[in-house]
Amino acid sequence: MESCLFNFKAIMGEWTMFDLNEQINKWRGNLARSETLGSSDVDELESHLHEEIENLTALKLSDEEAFLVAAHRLGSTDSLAVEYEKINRSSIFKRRLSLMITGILAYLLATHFATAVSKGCVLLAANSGITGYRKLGVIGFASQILVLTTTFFLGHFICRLIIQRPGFKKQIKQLTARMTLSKVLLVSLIMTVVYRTAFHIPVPGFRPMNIQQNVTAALTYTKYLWSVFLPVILVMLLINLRKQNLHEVKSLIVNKAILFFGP
Amino acid sequence: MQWTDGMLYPVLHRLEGQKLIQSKWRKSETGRKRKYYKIKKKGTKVLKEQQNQWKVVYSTLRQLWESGPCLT
Repeated sequence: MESCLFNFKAIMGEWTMFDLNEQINKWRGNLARSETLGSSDVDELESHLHEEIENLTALKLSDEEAFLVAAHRLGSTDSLAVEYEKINRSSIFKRRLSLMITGILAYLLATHFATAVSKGCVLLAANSGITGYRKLGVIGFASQILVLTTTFFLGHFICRLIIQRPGFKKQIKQLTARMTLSKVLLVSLIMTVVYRTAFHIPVPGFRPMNIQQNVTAALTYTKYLWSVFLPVILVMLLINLRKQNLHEVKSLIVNKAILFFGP
Repeated sequence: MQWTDGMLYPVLHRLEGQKLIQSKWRKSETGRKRKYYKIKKKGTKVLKEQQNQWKVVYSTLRQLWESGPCLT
């Protein structure tokens, strides 16, 4: 019997011997990933599983059979999650609340950091001779967007690393795989549209004179740009959440862009 | 929905929340952690009450079904 398994392994190459500990760890990982079970709940269920497996192997079942029967007797992850949700309500709520508070604090931190960096960029630009509140305002706006996107991706990866610890390399591969040519073109198209729009929005009654006034006007103009573009960005994100509408949005943007570049 | 062994533990946790049983983690001989449950005084009292209620239901139904005319 053993020699049969080894020959199979040699022929198929991919066949792996059943590793009980690996299977139990996978099973435990599945349970731990559900939102409704706490770590002591998972420990309790795991010790039950171990004892069940011991009882079954004592009855002359193989490791794999014992594991499958014991896991089936305990119940599926989904049904257990439903039952535990009924008793863990308060701790689930607390966990969600703390996640929300963490998210809000992270957002505040990121926006403060972005504002500070953009003020620095605008001052640098103004001191190195760039004039005009519109140009400076766009510099402030662009630097804020850059800082916010980098902090978002950085924060996302750090959170994943802390909370989940998944395959890091696989994630980066997935991210770069998703950057197809059409998506890169779409993003650059959107950025061109935004750039053209920003330089054509007038702020009425504003004629600043010196560097200091230029900087102040630029910062005001940055906030003005946010109030124009943030709703657009939010609407686009919301539409993107409904995947079937993505094609319509793409064609809409392409049409608008053609109108822009026409005259 | 089908009952499975794992669904026992949420019930035990709920009983523990109602202070009817108590639990303790202990190490078994093999070194593995194990949770031991024990019924408390209040739990024994509530258990007796529930058993009495079931006995009342049982005797009432037995009287209804054994004696009396045809029910259809």
